[in-house]
Amino acid sequence: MTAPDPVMQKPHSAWRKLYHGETRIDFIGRWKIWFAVSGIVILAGLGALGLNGLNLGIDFKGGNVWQTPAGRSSVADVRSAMEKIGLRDVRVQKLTGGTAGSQFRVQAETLKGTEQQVQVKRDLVSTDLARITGSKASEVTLNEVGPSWGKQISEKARNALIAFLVVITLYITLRFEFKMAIATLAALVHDLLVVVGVYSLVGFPVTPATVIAILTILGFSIYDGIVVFDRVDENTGLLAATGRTTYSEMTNLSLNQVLMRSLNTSITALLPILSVLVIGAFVLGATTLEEFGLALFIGLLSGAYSSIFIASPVLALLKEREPRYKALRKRIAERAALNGPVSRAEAEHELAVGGLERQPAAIGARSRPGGDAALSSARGPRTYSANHPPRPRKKGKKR
Amino acid sequence: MRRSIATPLLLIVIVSLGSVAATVAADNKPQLGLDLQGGFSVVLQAKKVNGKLPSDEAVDKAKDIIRQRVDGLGVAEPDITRQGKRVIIQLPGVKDRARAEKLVGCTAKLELRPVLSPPTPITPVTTAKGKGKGKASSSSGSTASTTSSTTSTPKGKGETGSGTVGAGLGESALPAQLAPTTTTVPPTTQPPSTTTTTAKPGAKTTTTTTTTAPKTSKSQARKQAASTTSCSASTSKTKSGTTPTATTTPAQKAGGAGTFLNDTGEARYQLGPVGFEGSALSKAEAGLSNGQWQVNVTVKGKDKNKANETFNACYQASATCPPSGADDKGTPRGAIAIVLDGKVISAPTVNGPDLASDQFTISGNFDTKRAKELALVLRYGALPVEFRTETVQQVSATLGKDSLNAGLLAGVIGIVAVGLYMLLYYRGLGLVVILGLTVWAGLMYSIVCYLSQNSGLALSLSGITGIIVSVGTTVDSYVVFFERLKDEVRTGKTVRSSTERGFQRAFRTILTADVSSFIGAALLWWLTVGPVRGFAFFLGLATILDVVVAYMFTRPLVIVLGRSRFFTEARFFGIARGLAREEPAVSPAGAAG
Repeated sequence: MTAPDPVMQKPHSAWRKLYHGETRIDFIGRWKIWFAVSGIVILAGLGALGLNGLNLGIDFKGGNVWQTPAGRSSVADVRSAMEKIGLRDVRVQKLTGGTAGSQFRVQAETLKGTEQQVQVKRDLVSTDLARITGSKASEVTLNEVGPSWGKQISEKARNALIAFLVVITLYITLRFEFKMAIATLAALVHDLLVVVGVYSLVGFPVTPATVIAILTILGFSIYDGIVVFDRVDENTGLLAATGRTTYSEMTNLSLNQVLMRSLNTSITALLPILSVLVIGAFVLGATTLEEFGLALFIGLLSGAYSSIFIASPVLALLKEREPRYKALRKRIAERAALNGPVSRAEAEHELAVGGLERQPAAIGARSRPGGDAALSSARGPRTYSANHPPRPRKKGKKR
Repeated sequence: MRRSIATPLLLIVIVSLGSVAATVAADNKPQLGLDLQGGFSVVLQAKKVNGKLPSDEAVDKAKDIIRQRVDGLGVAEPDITRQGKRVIIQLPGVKDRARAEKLVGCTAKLELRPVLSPPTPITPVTTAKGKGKGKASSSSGSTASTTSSTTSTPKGKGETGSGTVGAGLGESALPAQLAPTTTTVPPTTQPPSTTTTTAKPGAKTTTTTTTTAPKTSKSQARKQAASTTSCSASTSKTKSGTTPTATTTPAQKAGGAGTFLNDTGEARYQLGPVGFEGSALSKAEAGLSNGQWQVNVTVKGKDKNKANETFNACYQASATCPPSGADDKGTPRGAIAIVLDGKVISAPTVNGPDLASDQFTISGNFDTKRAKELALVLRYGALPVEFRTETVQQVSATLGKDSLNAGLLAGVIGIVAVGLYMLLYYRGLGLVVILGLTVWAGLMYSIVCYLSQNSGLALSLSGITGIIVSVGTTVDSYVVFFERLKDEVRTGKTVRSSTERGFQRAFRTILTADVSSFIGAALLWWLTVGPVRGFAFFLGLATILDVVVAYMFTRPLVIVLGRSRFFTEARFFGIARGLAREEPAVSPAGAAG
C-alpha cells in the first residue's frame, strides 16, 4: 500500500485484499493442516501435563507468601532466617521493578499446628522479615491460604465452566443451530486445552487470576466465533437460493468476508491485554496483573485461531454430512464436470455479492479489469467484473 | 427524522455527562478493594459440628457478632459478608492485624447469668429519662416493669432486659405474666428442689462479689464487656480503651461476675457468674400465644438440673440473684440475663421455679422481629458456629498503591493504544469509537462510584483488569459495525444510505455476541467466589453498557455523520476513506476535494 500506485492493473496486495474482505484463503479445505497444528500443540501440552502437572500457586495447594521491601538484605539472609524459624519448603524470590523498589517474596508450605500456633508462627515470620530487611511491620504483605480453599475455588470454577458451556450451547442452538453450538464447543475445548497445555509446558504458576482469565477467554472465543457464524447463517439462506456452491465453500467465503473483522476484534481485544501484561511484568514485577495478562494473552491468541481454524471447519465438516448438502455437493460436481470451473467462480461471486444485497446496476457500472487477475486465473477465465474499481491513490497516503 | 435520531444521542450524552457531574458533586469515589489500598482480610469457613454444617442463619448471626466486634476496633470501612457457609472479612487500613485476627476468629458464646443489679443507662443524653424509668420499674414491682423499662432504651428494642421467664408453671402455680405457657409445658410432679441449689452457681466462683466494681466508667465497662467474650485475652483493648484496666480479673475470664453492656451499648448490667451456657439449650422458636409473640426454649435433658438451679435462685430472689424485677403479683423476683458474646441481649425476670418439662418461655412486649431475633440468638447459643481460617491476607498500603497505579497505567495505555489503532484504521469513524468510549467510561465510572457508595462494591485489581479487558470487547462492537458498514458501502451504496441498514445487521451480531458474553459473566458471578466475582461483575456491567452505547450513541452518531459531506468526503478524515469506499472511477479527482 505504498503511494502512489500508478499500475492500476496490478493485483491487490495481500493487505488490500484483507482490507476488503476479498481474500480467498482456503480455511475449510485445509482443515487437516489446522487440526494437525492444534493437535500437536495440545498433545505436547497434555504430555507435559502428564509429566509435570500444573505449577499450582498457593491459592490452590495452600501455603504462605510474605512479601516485603528488600531493603539492603540479600536473598541468602532471608532464607537462612526463615530456615532458622523452622519454615520448610521455603522459596525466596527477589522481585525487581515497581515504584516501591525491589521486594522479597517468601513462599512456604502450610504451617502446621493449632490455629494459635499457626498465628504465632506467621507473625514471627512477619516481624523477622521486617527486622532483617529493615522495613516497617506494616509494609510486610502476607497471604495465607488454607489447603481446602484452593479446592473450593477450583471446584467452583469447574462448576462455573460446565454451566457456562451448557448454557452457551443452549443459547447458540436457539440463536443459530445445534451444529454451530457443537463447533463453538469444539473451539472452546481447544482453547482450554491449549492454555492448560502451554501452562504446564512452560510452568507458569496457576493462580485464581489464571482461572479468571481462562474463563474470560472463553467469552472472547465465543464472540469471535459468533461473528463468523452470524455471517455463515446469513449466507446459508442464499445458498439454498443459488444452489451453486457447497456448504464448505460458502463457509469459507463467509470466513474470508469477515476475516478483517475477526482480526480487528482480536487486535482491539489484544491491545489492552498486552498493555496489562507489559505493565504488570515490567512496572510491577510478578503480580496479579501479569498473571492475568499472560493467561489472557495466550488464550486470546488461541481463541482468535480457534474461531477461524477450528470452529468453522468443524461446522463445515458436520454440515457436509447432512443429506441435503451432500446432494448439493454432488449436483455441483456434476455441473462442474459439464460446464467447467467458470460457473463455480460465478456462483461464488453471486453469493458474495448477494449476501450484501447487491444492487445489480451499480455492479454493472463499475468494472475493474483484471483487478482480481491472479486469483481468477487460477480458477479459470474470469467472466464477471468486480463490484468495485481500483481505488485512486493519493500522495502521502499510507494506507 | 433527523430529530428522532439525534434524540437518543443527546439523551445518552446528557445522561453520561450528568451522571459524572452528579458523581463529582456527590463526591462519590470508587471504593478501593483491599488489594489496592492495603489492609487485612480473612476468610472464615464454618466448621462442621456433629457432622453437619451450621445453618445459613447461624452463620449470618456469627457474621453479625464478628461485625460488632470489628466495629469496636474502629476500622474505617469494614466489609463483612457471608457467602454460603463462609464469612469474608475485609478490614482496609487496619493497624493491629494480630488483634484483629484473634478478635474475628473466635467463637461467640451464649451465657445465661443472673442479674445482680438492674440496668443503668449509660448514654449521657438519655440518662435522666432512662434512669428515672428504670428506677420506677424496679421499685414499683408490678407488671408495669415490662413496659416502663421498655421505654428506657431509646432504640425501640424495648424488651431488652424486660421479658419474663415463665418457668415451670406447674408446681409453683404462679400464673406467668403474659405467658400462658401451660399448653406447651406438660405438667409435672417433680418437686421443686429449691434451697439446696441456689448457692451452687455462686460456689463455682467465690470471688464474684468482690469483682463487681460498682461504678465503672463507660470505657471500663466496655472493656469488661469485651473481656468476657471467649477471646478475652485479645479483646482487652477496645476502641476507647487507652487506660489499662485492673478490673479484668481471672474470675471474669472464667465466666465470673462482671459488668456487661446491652447489645445497643446503652445500658449497663451487673451480672453474676454464668448460670448455664447456651449449649444447654436445644431448641428455640418464636411463636404466637394469645396474640403475643414469645420465644419457646427447650433445654437439653442432661442440662436441666443446672438450668433449674439458676431459675430457682432467681425465682426466689436469693443472694446470688437478687430481685431486680417482680412478677405480676408484685413479688420481687430475680432476672436472668441472656448474654451473647459479652453483650446482654435480654434480661427477663424469672416468673417460675423449676422447669416443669424441658421447656420454658420468654415473653414480653415482643414484636415479630424482636422475638425472632431472640430465638435466633438462643438457637445460635445452642450451636455456636465455629470457624476455620481459610485464608489470611495482608497487603501493605504501599504495595496496594503500586498495584493501583500499575492497573490504572495499564488501563490508560491500553485504551490509548486501542484508540490510536481505531483512528488509524477507521479515520473519522475512529473518532466515533473514542467518543463512544468516553461516553461508556463516563457511565461506567458513575455506576461504579454509585455502587461503591451504596452497595459496598469494592474495586479490586481483578475488577480493574475486568474493566480494561472489557474495553477490548466494547471496541469489538464498533469493529463489527464498521466492517459491516464497509461491506454495505462496497456494494456501491452511499455512506449515507448504508449506515442505518449496516447498523441493523451489525446490531444483530453485536447483540448475539454480547448476550453470550453476558451469560458468561453472569454465570461466573453467580457460581464463583472471591476475586473472580469482582472480575465477572465488571465484565457483565461493561457488556450491558456496550449494548446501550452501541444503540443509543454509535448508531445515531454514525447516521448523523453519514449525512455530513465533510465527514464522508474529507481527505484525511472522511468516513469513506476509513471504510475504503471506492469513489467512482470516473471522477477520482472529485473525491479528493
